[in-house]
Amino acid sequence: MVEHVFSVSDFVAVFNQSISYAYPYVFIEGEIENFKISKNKWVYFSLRDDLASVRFFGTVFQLPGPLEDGLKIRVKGSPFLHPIYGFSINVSQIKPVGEGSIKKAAKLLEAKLKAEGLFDLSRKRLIEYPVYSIGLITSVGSAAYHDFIKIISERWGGLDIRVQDVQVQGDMAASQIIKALDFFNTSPHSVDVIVIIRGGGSAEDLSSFNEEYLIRSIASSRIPSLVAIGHEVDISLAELVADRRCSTPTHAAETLTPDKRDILNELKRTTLQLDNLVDDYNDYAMQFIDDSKNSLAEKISRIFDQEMKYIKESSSLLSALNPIEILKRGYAIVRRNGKNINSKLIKTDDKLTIETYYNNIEVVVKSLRIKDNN
Amino acid sequence: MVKNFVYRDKKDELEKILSELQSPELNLEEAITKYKTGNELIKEIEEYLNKAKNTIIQIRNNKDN
Repeated sequence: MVEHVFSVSDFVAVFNQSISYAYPYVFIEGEIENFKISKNKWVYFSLRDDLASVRFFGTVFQLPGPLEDGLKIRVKGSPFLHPIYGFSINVSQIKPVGEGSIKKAAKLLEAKLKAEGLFDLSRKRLIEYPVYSIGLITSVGSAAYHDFIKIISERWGGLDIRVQDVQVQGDMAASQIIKALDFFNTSPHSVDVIVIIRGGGSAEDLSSFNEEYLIRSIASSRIPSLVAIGHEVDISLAELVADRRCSTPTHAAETLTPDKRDILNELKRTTLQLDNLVDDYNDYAMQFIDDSKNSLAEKISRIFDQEMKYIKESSSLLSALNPIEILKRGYAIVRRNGKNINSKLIKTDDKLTIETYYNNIEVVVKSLRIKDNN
Repeated sequence: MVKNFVYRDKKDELEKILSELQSPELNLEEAITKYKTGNELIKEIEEYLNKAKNTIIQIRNNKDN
């Protein structure tokens, strides 16, 4: 066998060619040590287990969020022998693994984003109610999708629901959800709300919803967002950053729309109340008309009676004043020079005319005797 | 109803005649004329009131139906 001797550079080239052919990328799980970020861009750390330690190199853009020594992560990367700095794995993706690490990483990210104010209540926007159009981001094969569609269709019809089918767990989930968010935010046909839903799962299944870039993408969405992840204990950061969070997809459907059955019942009740009001008013109006008729009849009767009494009295008075009747009873009218005269003014030698019922008598006053009527 | 019959005017006219008939200045001829006019006015007013009564009864019957 011929011994092949490489130059150092050749060896590095051959090694890199061979290893990239045999293992274009590898997944390695281990505990972080010597984690370091240089110039806010370059990331250096090692992964170790009980027997070995391997160095990694990457950029901050590949970090799922803040990391620290002791966290257990799974790294996807390409083995690479640097001509000067030696062997390392060039990182393409990092994920915390194991419930403890996932939670720890989420806590670190939560603290960082909280300090930036991403979860502040003042950032929350109101979601239109009821909504008319929804941008739904979920896996259409999931029970969450079917629950959401079933409940919202039962509650409120005629909604414009546009769906972006994405993976809701796994390596591609966060990037697909971000892409779907971008789609709705840049679509010429805007929606009232973006809804991201999935069912429950383990901390690892849900870890995509704690990835920093996804959280930032939801925070920067122009359209208000609602996130509902159906799990019980922990709240994902995606839910914390959303304008509205709901405990389950069903709860999300209930939050976005009223139940048309409730509205119909309310309408029925209102119709009944209106009917009753109309009946009451009608009764009142009829009563008012009856009262008015009676009052009118009473008033006209009173006026009529008064007038009848007046004319009767006038008739009696006129009869009493009938001049012929007075003369018939033996009375006479005394005139001087053709004019009625008051008897007090009569003097001796006055020429008077006395009119009786039967004749006119011309007389001269011979004597006067004043009567004492008192 | 009598055309152009104004109840208030007729009543005022009757009041005037009743008042004049009580004046000592009135001669017999004038008194008789006024007495006659008074009786005519009373007749007219009575006719008017009787027709008014019928009208009221008619309105009342229509209301009850």
